[in-house]
Formats: sequence, structure tokens, C-alpha cells
Amino acid sequence: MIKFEGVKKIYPSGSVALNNVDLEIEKGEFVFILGHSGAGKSTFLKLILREEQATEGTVRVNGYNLKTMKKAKIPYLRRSLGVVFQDFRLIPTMTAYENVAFAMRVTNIPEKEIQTRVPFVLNLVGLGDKIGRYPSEMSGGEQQRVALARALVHSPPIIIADEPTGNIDPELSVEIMELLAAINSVGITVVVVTHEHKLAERFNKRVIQIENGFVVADSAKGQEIVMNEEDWKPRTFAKEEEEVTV
Amino acid sequence: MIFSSFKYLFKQCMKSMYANRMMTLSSIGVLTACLFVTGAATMLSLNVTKSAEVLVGNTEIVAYVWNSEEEKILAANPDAEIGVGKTLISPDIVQAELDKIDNISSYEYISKEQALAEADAMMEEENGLLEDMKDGTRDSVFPASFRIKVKDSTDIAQTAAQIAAIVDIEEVRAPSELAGILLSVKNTVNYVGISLIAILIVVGLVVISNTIRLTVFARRKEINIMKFVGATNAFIRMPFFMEGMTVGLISAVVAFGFLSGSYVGIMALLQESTITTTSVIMQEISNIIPYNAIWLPLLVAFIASGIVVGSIGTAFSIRKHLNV
Repeated sequence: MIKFEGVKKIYPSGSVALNNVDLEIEKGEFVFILGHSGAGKSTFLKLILREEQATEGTVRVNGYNLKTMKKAKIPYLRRSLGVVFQDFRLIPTMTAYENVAFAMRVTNIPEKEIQTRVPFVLNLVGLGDKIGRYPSEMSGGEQQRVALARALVHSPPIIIADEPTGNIDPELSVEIMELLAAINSVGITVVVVTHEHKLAERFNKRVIQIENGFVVADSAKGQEIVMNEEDWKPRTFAKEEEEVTV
Repeated sequence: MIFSSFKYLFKQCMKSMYANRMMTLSSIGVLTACLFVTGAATMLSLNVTKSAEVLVGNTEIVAYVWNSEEEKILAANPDAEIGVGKTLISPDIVQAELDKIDNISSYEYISKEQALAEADAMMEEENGLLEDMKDGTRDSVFPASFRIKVKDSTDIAQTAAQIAAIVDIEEVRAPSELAGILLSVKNTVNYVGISLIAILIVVGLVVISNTIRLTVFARRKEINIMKFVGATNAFIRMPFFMEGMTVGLISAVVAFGFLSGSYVGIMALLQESTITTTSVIMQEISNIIPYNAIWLPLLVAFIASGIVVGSIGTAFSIRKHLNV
């Protein structure tokens, strides 16, 4: 589903955002990408969405090799990814229905299909009764659900959530996370990017920790989250790790 | 692109124009002014060109032939001894010389008899004045002549000089100075018109490109969302092109209305004033291209230039400000 092979990203300013990142997220997984601010999480997301390109190495997403793919194919890659942002990114002048329909309209989907699909996904996220509300008339949690409905509308195999609970009250955060878990339970891969290690700890899911541009821990390899900054060391190659532990 | 998408894009374009209505209106205003001035310059240029052509085209060079060999010799040397009697000059030599001049398209020989008949016809009211010439008791004072038409009227002066150099020609009358002045006015109007059009096209492009830049800025959030939900670049750009072209189109129609009104109004004013004006001006007015003959090409040209300027201006702006 998502595969990073020796990925390095250096920005034109010279700052190294990601360094030798190797990781693989399989179909149907629920993964937290954990890291402090400036760790390289945003760059990780930008690379997946092909907003940026890796300086070295290869990124593969949903069967696309993002290094060799043509620019004209980028919209199709993005349609195969449902993205949810911390700031919701809803259009304030559009109702919940229109915001979700927008994602379908701009991808040339016939109006008839939009009319049946949009209420369906809004129901799915529990907003069936708030279909005509504007973002300003909804709570943060509800707005995030609209964003989630919009992300789901294309039935993407992967949902990527960037700090989805960052702007929401703690009790509502749980609801959003449970919704993401429910989405995952039907086989959709969910990647949650967050800096809240407690959130990651609460759900017993795979956690990949990125700090200073390196992957410093991956729970799938039995590595625990490293809280102490001094212990942040790159753990890039699984084989080397095994050799060290032996 | 399916119909519902087109409908959606059109709606977006209208919404965006309404949301930025002040900017849209001011760009329509500036573009209308540009098109109006461009159109007016073109109309002026077309009319002056036509007038000049009609005037120059109608005016022939008239070359008068010497009355006789004796007169020709005396004119060259007053002391020359000549016998009594007259030797008429044959037009054949002049014709042969005229055939050698490239710029002459056609000529007609008017004999002394024809010249007298023409003069008689013109002086109908003063009957009897030419009687003695007609019955042969007095020599006709009207010389034989050639009426010559030229191919390129701008070279008329040179051609006239060439004709004057023919030995048997006494005098050459080239078109009046008015034609020459009109020709130079035509050239000046054309040069000024072309420069003006070039400047106004640049102004139009800048105005459209600025309007679209503002729209792009106003809609940056929407554009960002469109990008990450997978809208194609063409789809993201389309409403901006539609907006640019719509601004161009509206400006074209408004400018066409103003220019048509002005043209018809000025023509009516000129026609009213013909009663008091001289025949030269009257002739000039009759040379003005009628509105019926120009409204359609004018409208087509306006719409085409409005749309072209609109889309090129948008393309500039999008290239610079819309990174999709």
C-alpha cells in the first residue's frame, strides 16, 4: 500500500527533513505516525500526496511509483487517498452536503451519483441529520466528520489523517478515533499522523515514530516509543536491528 | 467533460465574478475602453484608407498633347523658323511612349473633336459660344489629350513626371494635392492606429491577468482542496479561463454597442451638415463605409479579440500564480 525505500528529502534551503526512511504499511493496517513537531511528519505526508518528491529513494503508494509517475497522473493518485487535516479544510460557504459533493463534482462524477452517495457517507459518519448545516454551525468534531465523509466519498483504499484530533475537544477526539477504527475494520488502511503519543498509546495499533527525519521506532518490529530525545537514533534497516539484538 | 461538470464550472465562474464584482466591473470597464479605442482607430483607418483610395483611384492623370508640331517647336525655341500651316501630331508616338511606363494601367485618347464635343456638352447653357469652333471657322482651343489611370497611386508623382517627359506632351495634370495629403494622413492614421492597438492589447492583457490573479488568491483554499481531492489541473484551471473569457466577451459586446452608436451618430451628424458644406467634403462623406457593411465583421472581430485577450491574460496569470 505505502512503501518508502531509502527515502531522503532535502529541501532547497538545505534542511534535511527525512533521512534514509524505510517503511512499509500493508493493506488493512491501522498505523500511527508519531513524532514531535519538526520531526518530518509533514514531509512524510507531502511525499505520499506527491506534493513533494523524494530527493533520494523511492516512494510507492497504491501501486504508483511516485518517482517515475507522470504529473498528469497525480490527481488519480490523490483520488485513491482520502485525506483529513487538522484544520478540516472545509469551504465555509458550503453546507456539509455541498462540501462532500464538491470532492465528487471536481472529479467529474455525474450529479445523480453524487445525490445518492453524499447522504450515504454523511450518514456513515453520523451526520445524516446535519446535511444542510454550514461549517460555522457545527462543532469541531462534526466538522472533522464532514471532512472524513469527504475523504471517504471516493471509497479510497487508504485514509490519511493529519492530526485529526488536533482542533477537537479530548472527549470528541475519541469519537473521531473510533470512527477511524470502524473505517479500518472494513479493510480500509488508516494512517494517522500525530504528535500525541498518548493518543497512539491508547489504541493498541502499530506506531511508527519519526524524529529528526529518522524512523526511531516501529512497534511492528517490537520497538517501543522513545520518549527521551537523547535516545532518538535512526533505525532504518530491519536486518541491522536484528543483528544488533542478536 | 460531462454536462454536469460544465454546468458546475459555469456556476463557479459566475459566482466568482459576482464575489469579485468590483474588480470584474472595473476590468470590464478598462477592457471596454481598450476595445472601443482600438475599434475607433480601426474604423478611422479603414475610412481614411477608403477615401484616399477612392480619391486617388478616381483621379486620372490628364496629359495634353501639343496642338501642332509648329507650336511644339516654337515653345522649345521661340526664334525657330517655321513655315505657314499646321502639322497635326499623331497620337501613335505618345501611345508608344505610354506603353513603356510600367505604372500605367490604362489610358484613353481624347481627340480634339471629342474634347470640343465634351466642352460643348458641359456648356449647354452658353449655347452659341462654341459655334465658330464647331463649324470650323475658328480653330478649336481644346487640345487632344490622354486620360491615364495608374496602377499604384502612391507613385503618381513619378509617373506624371515620366509622362511629362514625352516630347509631344504639352502639359500634365496629376491628381490634386488633396489625394497626396489624404494618402499621407492614411499612412499616419495606420501607424498611430497600429501602435495604439498594440499598447491597448498589452493593457487589456495586464488588466485581465490582474483580475484573475485576485480570483486565484480569493479561491486559494478551494484550489488547495480541489488539489488534494484529485481534481485534474485542467478542471482547476477551467473556471479561471471561463472567467477571463467572459470578462472579454462582455467587454466586447459593450464596446461594440458604444462604437456602433457613435458611428451611426457621427454619420447622421455629417449627413445633416452636407447641405452647407462644399462638394469635396460631400464627396468625402459619401465615401464613408456604411454601418450595414461593417457591423458584422466588427462584432466578430470584437468578440474574437475579447475572448483571445481574456484567455491569454488568464493563461499568464495562471502560469504565474496557480501552481497546481
